[in-house]
Amino acid sequence: MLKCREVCEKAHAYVDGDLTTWEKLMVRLHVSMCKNCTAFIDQARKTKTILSKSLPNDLSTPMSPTLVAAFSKLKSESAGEQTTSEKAHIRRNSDDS
Amino acid sequence: MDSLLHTRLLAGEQHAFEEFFAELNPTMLRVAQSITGNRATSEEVTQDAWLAVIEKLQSFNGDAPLRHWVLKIVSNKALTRATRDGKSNSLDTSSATSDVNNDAFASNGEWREPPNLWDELTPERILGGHQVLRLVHNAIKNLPPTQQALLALVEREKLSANQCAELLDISAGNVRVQLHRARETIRQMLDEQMDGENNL
Repeated sequence: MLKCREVCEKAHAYVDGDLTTWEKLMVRLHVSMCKNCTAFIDQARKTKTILSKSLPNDLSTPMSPTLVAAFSKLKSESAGEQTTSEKAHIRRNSDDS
Repeated sequence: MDSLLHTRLLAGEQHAFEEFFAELNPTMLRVAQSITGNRATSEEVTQDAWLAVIEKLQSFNGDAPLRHWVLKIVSNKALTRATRDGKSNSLDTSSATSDVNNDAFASNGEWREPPNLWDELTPERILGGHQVLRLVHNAIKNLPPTQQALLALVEREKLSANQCAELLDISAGNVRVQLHRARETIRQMLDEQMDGENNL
């Protein structure tokens, strides 16, 4: 039987579903009889939920002019390809007729 | 969805690229900072990675999700840069078990100070409360770069421990230890807030 301390050490991995079947069973068995560890597992689960929804976007940096220029180049190349393929399409159609 | 985004990017849709950049850039910076250990270098590396993404966009074949492909590019760039600069990842890899609050347990491993009930502390309440959310954000910002990167990769990008290990060039065991530490830091901070319940 796991001690409360051992259950807490495994709590985050348990919430992640990252324990072996045996470890999972041992945690469940303990939790079914221990309201304190039930509360701790609830804390771990809520922490995970909060973290999945509240990571700060503090590292956002504006797109640099170099990057904007590189993407614009892709855009113009893509437009160029489209124009070429459109011309080819028109040429094919006129050949067909 | 991935192929639609890929098509929009290939078509040069500026708006699609701006959205993609805004969503993924913070995680890329965290990955680069975890590997290079330096904020300024991580910005350079991330910029290089985006340029490579634009250049290689045509060759993306959809074997992996587009976001993972981009993260792999920034990881490779950062690893190359770290090697060139002679930097090595110096993680504290001691056992995660030491991260449990020792004061909370008696010597027999049972609770000395039972945990607070978080019945009133729902994720919705925290996410809706600016003050606690700010505390969570500050606590995340104070975590070591690798832990911040792992939270972003696991919680936001839903990557597995093995995928994170490959990206950050650390073992899967270390991924679990660092992730445990990150979550435990945030949980303890929230639990302290519960002690002074008026803050919530």
